[in-house]
Amino acid sequence: MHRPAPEEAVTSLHDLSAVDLLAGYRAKQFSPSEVLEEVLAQRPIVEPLGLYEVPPRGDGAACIVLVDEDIARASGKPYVRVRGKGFFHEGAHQINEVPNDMIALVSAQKAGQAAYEEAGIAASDIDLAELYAPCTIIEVLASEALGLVPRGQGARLCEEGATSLGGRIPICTSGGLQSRGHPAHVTPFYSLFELNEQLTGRAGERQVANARLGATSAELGNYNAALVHVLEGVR
Amino acid sequence: MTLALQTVDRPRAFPPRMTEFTQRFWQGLSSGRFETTRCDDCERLTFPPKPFCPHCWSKRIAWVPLSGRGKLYAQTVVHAAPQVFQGEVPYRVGIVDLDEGLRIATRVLADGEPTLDTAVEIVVLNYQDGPLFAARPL
Repeated sequence: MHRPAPEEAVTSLHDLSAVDLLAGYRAKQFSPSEVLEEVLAQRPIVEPLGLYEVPPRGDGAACIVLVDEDIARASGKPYVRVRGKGFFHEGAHQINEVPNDMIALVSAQKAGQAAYEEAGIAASDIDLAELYAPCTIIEVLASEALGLVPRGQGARLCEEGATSLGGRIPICTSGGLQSRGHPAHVTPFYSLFELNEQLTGRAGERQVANARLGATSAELGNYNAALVHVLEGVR
Repeated sequence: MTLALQTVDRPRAFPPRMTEFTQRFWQGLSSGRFETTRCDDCERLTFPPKPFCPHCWSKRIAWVPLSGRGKLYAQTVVHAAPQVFQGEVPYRVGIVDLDEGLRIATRVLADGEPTLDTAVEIVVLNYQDGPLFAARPL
């Protein structure tokens, strides 16, 4: 696929995988270099992605309770408010017969803009994001499309830690789909659950300090369609 | 323009479904004709061929020939494949932008990794039970 610097992008991808895998590997106490080594040693799945750069198969379930805000407020407990949502479908599935820039993820761009507009915020106001990103490169592209990082810099910023816990804009604090698994139809709900944990201050060692605004995405095809939510924690 | 033909001495692993409408495409392909449909109203092409226009929904369509030439937009090699293609791994697939402005997904026939944007041609693979097509660098 067309990227400004293919070799550099591929190198960054490998590093990215290590970052994504860290959460899942924390229990085993591997060092980042050990994780990276193990990632690179895996058999190829679809080049240049290896086994640990694509999500494992998994089952899962999530439960979300939606109520009027009065009821949530009356509970006396922290809750999360839906500040904005945006949806866009480009009208094609998988490969659009009309040539376009396939790594721009136009639907994510438009859904994100709509969600930010409804929420009355800018992408730079977001404190953390939990994205639908089934492979390492997708997290980079979706982060760029949603304006969380500048286009073409997603991989580098991830490598530098800007999108890790403690960085400027933590992305996929759950560990991401490679780490936590990807039960496809449940994944978007799990992302909402993760944001709920973060925005109500219950994320434990994954907690993003002072997290107030979060974004999630869901998609189909090659991000031919995207649904973006902006959530706000009320404590 | 007629496509180059290659014979493959085995049946297709996953034969495409042939309908009354797409029969013309597959039968033409087996003898080297690469065709699709164009809308008589808005004049836009579509691929694969369809009995309606996906751009303006008109049902006034006509069959037109394609050059079978294009440029390679993306490519990869598949190592983990669905069960039916298990016997063919690893195999190369790609995305090709045809000269007529249509983007298609196709198998790619190349020994090494082809350079992106390289010029490719569509070739016919005549299997024992019917044709498929693939792209190869020119």
